[in-house]
Amino acid sequence: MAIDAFKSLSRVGVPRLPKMAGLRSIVVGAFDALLNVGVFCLIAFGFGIWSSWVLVERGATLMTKSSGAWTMWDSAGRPDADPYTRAHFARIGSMPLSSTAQHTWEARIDDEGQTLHSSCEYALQGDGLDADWWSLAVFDEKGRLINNAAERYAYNARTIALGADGSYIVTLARDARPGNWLPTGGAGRLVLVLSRSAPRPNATTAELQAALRGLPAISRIACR
Amino acid sequence: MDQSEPARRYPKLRLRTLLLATIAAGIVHVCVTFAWPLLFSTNVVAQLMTAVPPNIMRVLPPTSPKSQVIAFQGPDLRYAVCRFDVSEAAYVVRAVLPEAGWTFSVHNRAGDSIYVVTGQDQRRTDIAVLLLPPGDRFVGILPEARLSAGLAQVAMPTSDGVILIRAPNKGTAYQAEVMAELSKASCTPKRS
Repeated sequence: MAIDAFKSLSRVGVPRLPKMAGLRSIVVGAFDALLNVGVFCLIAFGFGIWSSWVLVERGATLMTKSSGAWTMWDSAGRPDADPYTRAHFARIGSMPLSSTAQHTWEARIDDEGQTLHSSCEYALQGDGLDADWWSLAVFDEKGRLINNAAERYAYNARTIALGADGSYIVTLARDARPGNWLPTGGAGRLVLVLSRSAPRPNATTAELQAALRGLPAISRIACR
Repeated sequence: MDQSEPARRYPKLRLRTLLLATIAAGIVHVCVTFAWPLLFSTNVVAQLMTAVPPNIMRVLPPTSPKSQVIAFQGPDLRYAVCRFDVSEAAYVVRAVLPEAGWTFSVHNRAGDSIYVVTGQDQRRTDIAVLLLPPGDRFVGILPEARLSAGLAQVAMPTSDGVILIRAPNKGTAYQAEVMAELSKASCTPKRS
């Protein structure tokens, strides 16, 4: 009965209700909007925040200098520091001296690019740092000193034992090692910080290059 | 429905969306980068300010895991800290840097080094500084300036902050000598 009525309506020109094609276009339209809004949010917020985080954490050539595993923020502690440098030091919660007076180098990886970790043993080898004053300290990843019975947290220009040729080796390990040993306990990820007085303002290019070369190489000896 | 346009079967990602998203990502990147320092509640200078009383140069205990005040605090340095607020008075600061490795720095609340002096090898450096409130850059006519001949004048960009003297800790045998030099440092508000 109903079918007959529908057929008769069709004959007199009443348009048919959109069926599958109409429904599909509504569904596709909804997904279309969802997809575009989703992708927009993902790129705008995801990439925006991620890229900022990466630059604040690791820096880039424009704001840092690198030598091997070591990184230094060019405008650390300066009133005219770029926003990435400001954000970096605000995040890690440290207050470096102005980079015009002191160069502060950080290493969170070894020379092979592996994260420094207290479960491994490392050798830091250098040929002597050409600076009035320098200090090499080890921290956990939050910048806390690592508790140890020897109460040894750093070596500096006056406390390190040098070889006959002026070179030095510092060993980072959980257990005691002969020579210059920095205990790492069970700190997890490690951060090495090397502070040294900055080259004088009128230093030659050769002197600046020499300052970069003096940083110790960080090689992994073994891991547990 | 337009019969000439075939119904789409799958959702479509528009080029316009990608372009707008890329521009928005740039804006978010800039905003977030500027916002990071505000987001981190651990303001280093504020931490130091709570560790010492105002208007006095206080030598912090030797840095150890228990006494560490700020992250990445040099363990082989002794710190003398003075907390100041130049909104009410100018400050006269005096210190001595006996050798290389010693540094004197004035930091604003953001932690920036506003004024830095480093010690020289085999030469004593006497420091005498007058810290002035923000905006008082033409200090020649101010009473504070008349009272302070021979002082280097430093106009602070913000009203409060800390003065830090970092002294290399060369070992137990040198402790008394280092403490004697640090104790000579002073930080006094100068009211006219």
